[in-house]
Amino acid sequence: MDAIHTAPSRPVERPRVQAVGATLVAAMAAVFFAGMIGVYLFIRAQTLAAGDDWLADISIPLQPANVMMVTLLASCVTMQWAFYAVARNDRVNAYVALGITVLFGAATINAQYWMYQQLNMGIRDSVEAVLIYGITGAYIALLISAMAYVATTTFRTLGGSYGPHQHDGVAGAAIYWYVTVAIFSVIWLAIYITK
Amino acid sequence: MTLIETRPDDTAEKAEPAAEPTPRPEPTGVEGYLGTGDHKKIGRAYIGFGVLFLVASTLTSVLLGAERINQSGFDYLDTETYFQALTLNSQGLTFIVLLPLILGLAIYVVPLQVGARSLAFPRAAALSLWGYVLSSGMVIASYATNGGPGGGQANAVDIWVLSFSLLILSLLIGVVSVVTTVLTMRSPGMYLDRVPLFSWSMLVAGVLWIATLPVMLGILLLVYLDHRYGRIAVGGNFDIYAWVHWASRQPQVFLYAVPALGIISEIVQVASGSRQKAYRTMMALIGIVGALGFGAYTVLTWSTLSSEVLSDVASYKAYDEWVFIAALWVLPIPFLALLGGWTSTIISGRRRRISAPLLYALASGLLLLAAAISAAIAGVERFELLQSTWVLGSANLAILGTIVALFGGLHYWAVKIWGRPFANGAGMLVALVLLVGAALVGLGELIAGAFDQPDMALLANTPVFDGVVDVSSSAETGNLIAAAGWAVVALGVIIFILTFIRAVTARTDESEADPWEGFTLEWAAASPPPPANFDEVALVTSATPLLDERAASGGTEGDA
Repeated sequence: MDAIHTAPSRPVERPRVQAVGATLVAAMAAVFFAGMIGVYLFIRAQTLAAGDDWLADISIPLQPANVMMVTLLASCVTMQWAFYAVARNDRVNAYVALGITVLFGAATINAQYWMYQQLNMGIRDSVEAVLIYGITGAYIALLISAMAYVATTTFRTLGGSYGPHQHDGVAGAAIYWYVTVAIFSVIWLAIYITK
Repeated sequence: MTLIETRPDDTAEKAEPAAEPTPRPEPTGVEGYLGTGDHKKIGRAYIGFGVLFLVASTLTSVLLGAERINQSGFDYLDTETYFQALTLNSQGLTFIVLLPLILGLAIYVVPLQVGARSLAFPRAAALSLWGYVLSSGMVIASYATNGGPGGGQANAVDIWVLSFSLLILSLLIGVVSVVTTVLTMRSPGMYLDRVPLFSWSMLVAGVLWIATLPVMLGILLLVYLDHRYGRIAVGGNFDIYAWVHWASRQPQVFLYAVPALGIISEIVQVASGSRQKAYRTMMALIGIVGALGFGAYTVLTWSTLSSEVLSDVASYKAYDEWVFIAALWVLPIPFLALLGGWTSTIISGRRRRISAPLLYALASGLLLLAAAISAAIAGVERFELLQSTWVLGSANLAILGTIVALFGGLHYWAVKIWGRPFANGAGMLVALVLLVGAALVGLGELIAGAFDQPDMALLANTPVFDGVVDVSSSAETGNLIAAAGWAVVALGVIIFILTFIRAVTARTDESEADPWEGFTLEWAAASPPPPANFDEVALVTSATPLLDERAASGGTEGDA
C-alpha cells in the first residue's frame, strides 16, 4: 500500500497542438483533392453519357502509376518506423527512416515526370489533359510540401527538439504523410485504373 | 602555471551580479501590428478591415438594388459591369466581409474564453491576416481591370481566380489556428461539454469550413488551368461563376451563420443572468445546423442551375436531389428549437433589462429563422423557386442575420477588445435599424422571387444580357423594397462605425473589466487583457466558471 501512496503523480501531458494542426491541414488537402476528383468524374460521366469516348487518344501507362503507388505505400512503413524510433530515442534509425521517406517521395516525383513524358499530351489538347495535369500537378505540389515537412522534422529531431519527451511534431508529419499517400491512392484509382 | 591560477582580483569582479537587461518596449502603431503574433492585435486588425469592406459592400448593394428597381434596362451600370458588380458583391459580402469578421472576433475571443494564454500557431494567424488583406485588394483590383467572372480581360480574370484562391486559403489558415486552440489549449477541467457556446460554435463552423471551402480551391485551380489553356473543360469567362455560385447559396450560407448562434447564446444567457437551459442540447443543435449547412455536395447542383437558368429541366433535376431538398426542409427545425431554448433562458432569468447586445441577439435570431423558413419553402418543387430571386433573398437574410449577430458580439465584447464600452442607446438604435433594413431586403427579394423574377446573378451570366427582364410590376415593387432595405442597412453600418469612433476616442477613466457580469473565462482577464491574457491558469468545473465563483462567494446567484 505504501508503494501506491508514494507513486509519482501522472505527468502533465503536453497539448498536442502540432499533431492536431497537421491533421486539420491534411484534412484540407484531402477535401481539396476530393473536389477536383469529383469534377473529373462528373465531366467523365457526362462525356460517356453523351456517347463520346474518354481518354480516346491518350494512353496512360499503368506501370509507372503502380510503381508510384507501391513506393508511397512503402513510405508509410518508413514514416511509421521514424515515429517509433523518435519515440524510443533511437536517433540513428530516426534519421535513416526519415531520409528514406523523403527519398521515396523524390522517387515518386521522378516517376510522375517520366509518366508525363510517356503521355506526350499537351495541356491544350483535350478536356482530359487539363483535368489530369491539374490533379496530378497539384498532387506533386502536395507531395513536395509533405517532403518539406518531413525534412524539417528531421532537422528538428537532429537539433533535439523531438524525442521521447516530445514527439508531437513527428506525429503531425506522419499524419500529413499518410493522408498524402491516401490521396494518391484515390487518384491512382480514379484516373489511372478507371481511365 | 599562470593559466590555472586564479588571479586574486577575479573574485572581487565576480561579486556583483550582472544587471538585468532592460526589456524592449512593446512596439506600437503600425509597427506593432505588422510583425505581431498577439492574437488580440490580429483579431482587431481583422475586424477593422472587415468593417471597412462592409461599408463598401453595403454601398455597392444599394447601387445594385437601385439598378434592379426598373427592369426595363440599365439605369446606372452597363452590360459588362453589371454582372461583375453582382458577383463582386455576392462573393465579396461572403468572403471579404462576413468570414473575416467572424474570424477576427474568434481570433480575439476564443483563446480568452478557453483560458489559453495565446492562440495556436500565432504566426500562421498573422499570415492569414495579411494574406486576406493582400488578396482582397487583388480581387478588387482584378475587377477594376475588367476581370472577375464575366470580365473582358483574360489576364484580369486569371488574376481574379488566383487572388480569390489566395483569399480562401488565407481564411482557412486562420480557421485552423482557431480550431486547434479550442481542441488543444483549453484550461484544465474544461472538457468539450463545458466549452463556452461561442467557442463551441467556432469549433463546429471551423471544422465544417475546413471540410467544404477547400473544394472551392480545387475547382478554382481547374478553372484557372482551363481558362488559361484552351477553355474547353469548364468554359469561358461567363461560365466561371457557375462553379463558384454554390458557396453563397443554400445550404452552405447557413454554415457561415453557425458562429452567430454561438454569439446569440452567449449574450442571451448573460443578459438574462442565468445559465443557458439545456446546455448540451443547445450545443447539439448548433452542431445540427452545421451539419445541415454542409454544402460542398451542391457544387454540381448549383452549377447546373446556374448554367441552365430559366430551364425547367435543370430545376426538376435539382428537386430530384433528395439530400439537398431534405436539408432545406429540415433547416427550420433546429433554428426553432434554438429560439425556444433562448426564450426559456430569458423567461427564467433574473434580469429583465433589455440591453443593446440582447436586442442584437433577438434581431439576429429572427432574421436567421426567417432565412431558414424561406430556404425550406424554396425546397418545395411546386413553387419552383430555386432559380428565382427568392433564394437570393433567403441567402441575404442569413448573411445579414449573421452580420447583426456579429455587431452584437462586437458590442458585447467591446470593452474586452478596445477597453471601452459602446453606448447602449446607440447600440439599440443600430440593432433596430439593421433589423428593419435586413427585413426589408429579405422581404423585397422574396416578393420579387415569388413573382417569378429570376436570380439576377444567373440571368446576367450571359454576354448579351441587356438589362431587360420581363417581370411583373409586383416584382419591381419587391425590388424597390429591397433597395430601400439596403439603404437602411448602410445607414445602420454607418451609425455603428460612428458609435465605435465615439467609444474609442472618448476621454473617460478606466472602464469596468466586466460590465455584463459575464459567466465565462474571458471576463476574468483585464479589459483589454495583457499580452499573456491571464496571470494564472484557471481550473474549470463547469461551463460558467465565473458564475460559480460568484455564487460560491455569496454574491450573485444563478440557476443550477
